[in-house]
Amino acid sequence: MKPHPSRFAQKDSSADIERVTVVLDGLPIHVPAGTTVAAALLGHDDGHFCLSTADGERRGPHCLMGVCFECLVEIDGVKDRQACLEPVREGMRVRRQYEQADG
Amino acid sequence: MKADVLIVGGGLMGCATAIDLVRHGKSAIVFEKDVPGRHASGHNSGGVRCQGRDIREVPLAVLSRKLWDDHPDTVGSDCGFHVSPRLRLAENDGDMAKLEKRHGELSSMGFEHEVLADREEVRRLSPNISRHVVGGLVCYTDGLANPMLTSKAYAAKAEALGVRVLSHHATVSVSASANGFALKTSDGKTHEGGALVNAAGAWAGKISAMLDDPLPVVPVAPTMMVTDRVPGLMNGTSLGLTGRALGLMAAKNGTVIVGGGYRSPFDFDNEKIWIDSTQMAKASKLMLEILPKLRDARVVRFWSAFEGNLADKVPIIGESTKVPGLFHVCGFSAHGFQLVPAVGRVMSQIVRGLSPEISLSDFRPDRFA
Amino acid sequence: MSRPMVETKPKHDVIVVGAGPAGLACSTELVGLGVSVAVVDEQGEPGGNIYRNVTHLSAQQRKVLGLDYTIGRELVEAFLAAAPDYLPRAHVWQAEATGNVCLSQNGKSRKLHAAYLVLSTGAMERPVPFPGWTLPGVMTCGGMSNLYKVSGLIPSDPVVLAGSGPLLWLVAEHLFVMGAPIAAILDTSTRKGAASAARHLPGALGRLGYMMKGLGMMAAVKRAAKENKTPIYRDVKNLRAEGGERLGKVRATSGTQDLCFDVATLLVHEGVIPETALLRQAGCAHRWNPVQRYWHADVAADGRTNLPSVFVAGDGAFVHGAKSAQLKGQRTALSIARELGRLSEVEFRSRVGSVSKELDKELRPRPFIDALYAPRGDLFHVADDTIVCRCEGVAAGRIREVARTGVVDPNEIKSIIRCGMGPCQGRMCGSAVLELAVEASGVAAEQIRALRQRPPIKPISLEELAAADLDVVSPRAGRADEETR
Repeated sequence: MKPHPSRFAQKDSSADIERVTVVLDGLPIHVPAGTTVAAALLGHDDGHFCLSTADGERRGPHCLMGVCFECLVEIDGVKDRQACLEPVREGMRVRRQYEQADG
Repeated sequence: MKADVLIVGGGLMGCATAIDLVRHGKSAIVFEKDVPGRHASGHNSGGVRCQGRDIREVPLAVLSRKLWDDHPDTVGSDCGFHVSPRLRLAENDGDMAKLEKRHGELSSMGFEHEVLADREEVRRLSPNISRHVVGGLVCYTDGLANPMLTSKAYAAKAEALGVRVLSHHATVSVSASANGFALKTSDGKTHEGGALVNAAGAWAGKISAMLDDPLPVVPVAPTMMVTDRVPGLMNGTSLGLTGRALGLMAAKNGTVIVGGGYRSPFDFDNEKIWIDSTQMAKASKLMLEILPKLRDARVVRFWSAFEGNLADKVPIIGESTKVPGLFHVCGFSAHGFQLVPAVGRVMSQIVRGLSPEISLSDFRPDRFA
Repeated sequence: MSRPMVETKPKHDVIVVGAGPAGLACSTELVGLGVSVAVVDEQGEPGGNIYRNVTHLSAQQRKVLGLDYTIGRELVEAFLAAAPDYLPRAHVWQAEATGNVCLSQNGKSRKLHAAYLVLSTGAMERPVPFPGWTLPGVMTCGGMSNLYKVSGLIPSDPVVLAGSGPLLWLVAEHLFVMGAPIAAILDTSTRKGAASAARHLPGALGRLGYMMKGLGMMAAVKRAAKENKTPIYRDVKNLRAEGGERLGKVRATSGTQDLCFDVATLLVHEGVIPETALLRQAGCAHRWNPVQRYWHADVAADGRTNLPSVFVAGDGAFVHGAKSAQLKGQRTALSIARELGRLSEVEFRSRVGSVSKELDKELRPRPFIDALYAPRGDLFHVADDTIVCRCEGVAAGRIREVARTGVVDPNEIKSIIRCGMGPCQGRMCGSAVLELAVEASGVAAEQIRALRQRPPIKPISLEELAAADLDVVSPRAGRADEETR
């Protein structure tokens, strides 16, 4: 199911804003350069980021300053990266961590 | 205060001994310099295993394993115990020969709890294991428990049965007389008892020195780590190696607890341990050799706690040959806490002047002389 | 006794952890005095949370964020000009009292060594559990401010702001100026805070400008709220986030009134506390502050800790705000430079006077502000079924249950029911666990052992740890020659 559109908007929506291409869950998306992965994803759609490994509930960014570990995504094949601390780069592969924990 | 038995150390060995003593009509006071579970009892790796124990400990371990199942009745808590078969791996034929030899020894003693496993059985138990593993020895009834929960359950049960468990009461001095022992605590009070149990863990050497009965037990700071949840990866099976140092425990919640005798430097007098991350890096390398799929697992925490260690890796359980009425129970470093219920029972037996239900001759305090 | 000793020669005189105001000012000052400095920071750019993205802001963003940002910009520019050895996007996961730090950068871990460590890890928002706070869509005000600072991202759907403290009002002001839709502002502060703060007013008035700024901000929010027909509710309690897979509704009460808002984003804020994870892991002694109700590093005026090689500068030692953090960073730099022999006693005295004076001036209104924004007494009176530990899903009732058995030490509670055992290592639940233990047991907070922090203070992958270059070794490093347990 396609997630709801983003709940956020770019304040400076000028067309000449520099963008990079990030591959999100296999599909290329164009996001503003210089932002974090968390901001890029929040600006893209309303999907969650990861599932709680304790209870499988959906989680998304909460503190956005590296403290809460709720914005974990897979970046370039490495799981559990804090999306709020990671700047976007051209060609970066990002995956949301959908797998249901069974522990 | 007076009691039949004074017990130094509110950890698991001290409380287990106290519980059995009061159940047999003796009064006991436990002196704990911090709180029960503050050091090794509350912070060990949680292994409840017969697997891999020194042959001398096996009779005690087999009895103890039975007693673990009774914990809900005996201490009012299951202590977080759950079964996780413990598989000791042979990485080559030399390892396998060692395991076969051990198996033969155990069989000749009449013990059947450890079973040889071929490649296929190893794969069945732990499907993600590296291909180089040739076989193993498995104990299907081994498991894990929660050290802090267990420590608190034992202390609470002891108190409920009438044992005075005095937290924050360090033992400042202790002396022996014809009538027994006089023990002075950090609050300046003196306590008297007919017998004294030294269950002070890493501090057992200090206590024995107070009575001029030196023991070669020395403090060490074993260092462990735990990963985040990697559900299914261990398949619920805990692992140990034969020729190298590594122990991986599969906790029920999916985390992996890592030990294996790694140690950190410390300052014992100030109770400081400098956790040595290079040791944990070494353990990580080994882990990836054994279970390559652990690559993505995240290490969440290293930790370390003081334990009492003896050169021959077998504990001291017995009466002092120098000071009658003084009983030592120490030197359990790297043992997990599987032996607790059985040791409590045999300690109580010897303190009460009975002969223990399992021979303790291999654990004599004077065996180092 | 076997003290870990370092065999390799230090590559730097000082390692500064954190590139917020304190870390930037400290490292800039040190470099100016000829000290070699490495600066390790989690962010991709210098500035910390307060001056996030300060050098790249658009003209429009600068206008919104206001004058204070100019200070930040100057600070960052001076830092970049001083050019210390700067390691961005690097997480320190272990700090050792001897001057070692283990850090992870670009997926690789290694060890650095210096004669001194300056830990300027800054502050974080006080995490306060309430029903539904784990739902996606519930974020912090500070988080929101990072979003618009870094990405120019503002809410397009209506949001509710709830809580108390200056940052709540600052973010509300910014959101209004940027035209973001705000459904309501829920003020959870109490009159009591204002009353007890009043006795600190004389001291605070010495810094009238500061006070006026705060009042001006509140007035601006009230004005904007009126223009936008955004209601501001006072005396708000019983905050609750509801939704299935994400936030859908925010409920609360204001006096006798029941409130309900259909919103997808809730921004919460209940004040700021020091981020002490690394400080605790390193072994810095801490002290309990009964007004702000947090543990903070026990430091001297120059940031000196109980550990001879370790200094703490900035909000990590006590939350005093950005300007103070900057001055504290400078003050620490002067002490270290003197100890390293780069400043003579005379030079030191002449420099330290003006910094200390300015810092004193800056700190004057703090008792007033601390009392005004003290966490209210019932802040952590959460229902038994409310999740407290987000990582491990441990609810308040379980914590109370354990505390009632006499186990009040958060370290022991953690070992028994796992709250604080997840990847955030208790950063999110630590305050609440302590307050719940206090509430359930009646034991005073300062009598309870603070939550210890173990390395790695942020998780690292096993693969990374296995490949780590941790070549600074202690001579009596542990052995691995034993049977496993």
